[in-house]
Amino acid sequence: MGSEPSDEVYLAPTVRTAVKVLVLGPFAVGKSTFVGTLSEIPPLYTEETITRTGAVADDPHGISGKTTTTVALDFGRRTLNDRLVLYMFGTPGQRRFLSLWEDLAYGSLGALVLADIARIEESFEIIGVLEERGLPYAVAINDFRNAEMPPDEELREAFDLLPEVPLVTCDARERDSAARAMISLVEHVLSVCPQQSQESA
Amino acid sequence: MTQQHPMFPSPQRAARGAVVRSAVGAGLAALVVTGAVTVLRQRNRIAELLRQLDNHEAELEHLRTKRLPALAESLNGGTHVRVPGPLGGGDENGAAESLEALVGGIEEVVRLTREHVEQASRRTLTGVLDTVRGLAAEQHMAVSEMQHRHDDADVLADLYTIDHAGSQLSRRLRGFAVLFGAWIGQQRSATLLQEVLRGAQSQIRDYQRVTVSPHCPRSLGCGPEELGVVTRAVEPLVLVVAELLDNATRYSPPYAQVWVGVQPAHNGVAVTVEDAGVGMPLEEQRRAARLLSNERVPLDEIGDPPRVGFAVIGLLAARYGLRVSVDSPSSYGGVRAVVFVPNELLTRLDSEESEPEETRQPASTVTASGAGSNGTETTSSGLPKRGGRKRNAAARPAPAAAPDSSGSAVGLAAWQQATEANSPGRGNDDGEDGEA
Amino acid sequence: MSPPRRRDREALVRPYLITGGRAHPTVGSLGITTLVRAAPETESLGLGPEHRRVVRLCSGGALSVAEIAARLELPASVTRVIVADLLDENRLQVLSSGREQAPDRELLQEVLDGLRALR
Repeated sequence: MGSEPSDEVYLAPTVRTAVKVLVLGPFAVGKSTFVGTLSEIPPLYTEETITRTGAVADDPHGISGKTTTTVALDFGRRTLNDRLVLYMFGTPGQRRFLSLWEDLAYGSLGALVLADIARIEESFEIIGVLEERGLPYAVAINDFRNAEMPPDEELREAFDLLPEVPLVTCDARERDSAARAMISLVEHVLSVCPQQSQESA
Repeated sequence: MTQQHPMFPSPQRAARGAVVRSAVGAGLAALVVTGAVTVLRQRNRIAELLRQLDNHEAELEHLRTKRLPALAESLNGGTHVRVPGPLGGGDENGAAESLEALVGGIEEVVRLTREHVEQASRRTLTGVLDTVRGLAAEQHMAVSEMQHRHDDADVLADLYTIDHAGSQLSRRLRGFAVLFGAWIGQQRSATLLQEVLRGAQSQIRDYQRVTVSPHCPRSLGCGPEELGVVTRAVEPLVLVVAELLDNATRYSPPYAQVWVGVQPAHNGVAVTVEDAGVGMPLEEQRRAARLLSNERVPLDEIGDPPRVGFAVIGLLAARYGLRVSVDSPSSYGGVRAVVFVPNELLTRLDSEESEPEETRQPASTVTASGAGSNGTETTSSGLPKRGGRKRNAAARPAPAAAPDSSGSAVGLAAWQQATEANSPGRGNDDGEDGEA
Repeated sequence: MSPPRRRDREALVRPYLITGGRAHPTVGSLGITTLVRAAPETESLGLGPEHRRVVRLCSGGALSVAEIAARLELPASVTRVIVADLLDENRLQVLSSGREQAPDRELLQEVLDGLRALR
């Protein structure tokens, strides 16, 4: 049912609803890969300059050789049916980038936190911020090296997850695997969604 | 011609005496003649020397009362002052020449001293300027960055104001850098001429009064959306046009528009800046013309308060091969400034989407800050453990910019409540987990 | 594969110039995933360069505000002001239901179904 990836720029004319999900994680954890795998368009960057680079690089007087880090906020989309499209925004989720994704978080369905098993501690802060913000999330360990995984219990203990928070492993390069991680997040969000909404429906 | 002199009157030696006498007479006569000539010569010589002395004195007086004051005035910045030459008086002994050399020497000493002082001043000023520019650039960058980070329109409105002030400051500093012979600053990649013009527009106070025409002549065989300016000319041209715009908005009524257009020209294009002011006073026009043709502007020409616009334009034009004039009347009534940009400074840019990729900056400095503090605790097999989970539901603050959930009861805040309320959930996490 | 990115970090044409100094979009409810497209037979005459580019881009079909920003290399905040201007002038139309909001159960179920169909 889902449309195949293509270079088509525009949405189908029937699409009327957009939902969005954040894909958060530390540098080089595979956020862009994940978004790219599920996206039907090549991922786009809304350029968000955290500290800037380049413009005065040629300056012989050394005006400002400041720390420069460009954080690209990449995103992709996936049309889910003829009236619904899902946008996925990949962005670092650390506290110091908070203002960057705060606006994105507004109205978003939830967040998928990517972690690298070799440095899971780099995802801790993101989880902390999400809990502070009250945004539902799932944790996905991007296992692109086929590394040996500790038992789930130990991972949950390490991440200090509430029992209902999903923890999955995935390969961000595999569509099936990435989709499964996303599904576990949406299932979780659905499970915690207020019942009265259902009742009134 | 002979003069009788009764010196030897003895009759005995008349004959011999006659011989002797005649000889002596001749000798005497010769002596007398010689003496007379010598005296005459000496008298002439004296007269000559006296005349020379007079000339010298006159020359010295001329030097003291006319030439040196004129020289002083001219060295003091009075470029229009003509230093008179020597009086000259048919001199052969080189006194005038040595005086001339003396004047030349004085001039040279003063020039060298001034040059030295000027260079030292420029060095000092450039150093001071660099410091200020560094700080200003840093601030401007920070403001740029904030505009990408913040989404609150009130915050952005304030940031726009600061950014605008920063752009003007940056233009001023680049102008001073040009005057001090320092590096103009920021190197940019080849840029569309339209963007250069709008970039210039954004750097002046009254940018809202400026209209940049979207029309561009077909030059170098490309349309307006491809006509670009080569790398090295981007910043100079931005600065030249910005200074002209600054001048145009300053010398026209506060609500009058200023128009920027691009016209075809032989071997290049002409950028025109026209205002609807009253035009420049003649004196101002002369000053502009003089500054525009200068290849070097002495520091003391900058004035106080500093008026650097035309000086900067002149220097940049000379340095980058632009031609600038401000003497033609505008069809809108005010001044029409024309910047001729030769083809060498123009290039064809492929339309927007095909610019070469910037290498993505690896965010190598993005480290897991904050994670380190948790690093002490580990699980049984050594995994680091996260600490400080917020287990208290009530303690969770609502997300910033809480949605006003138009219609739907499901906002983030509602969610967070629900997250707590439904904690047992569906409990299929482990199943999902095991699947992967 | 990578789309184009802003050429100079510190843009020559400043955001305030593009918006004429305005930071507040004239339409308050524009989100990053609000879907818009150009009104039929809209012309871009008399518009500034960025406004023109937005109209031109959106005349091809529907896009989110985020996509417009990314494809035209404009900051999202600036894009929002431009899109709002164009909505005011009826040059653009909003397709999605106004303000971004968290989805309800029904919508979540639809998302879930859509994702499951991907596998």
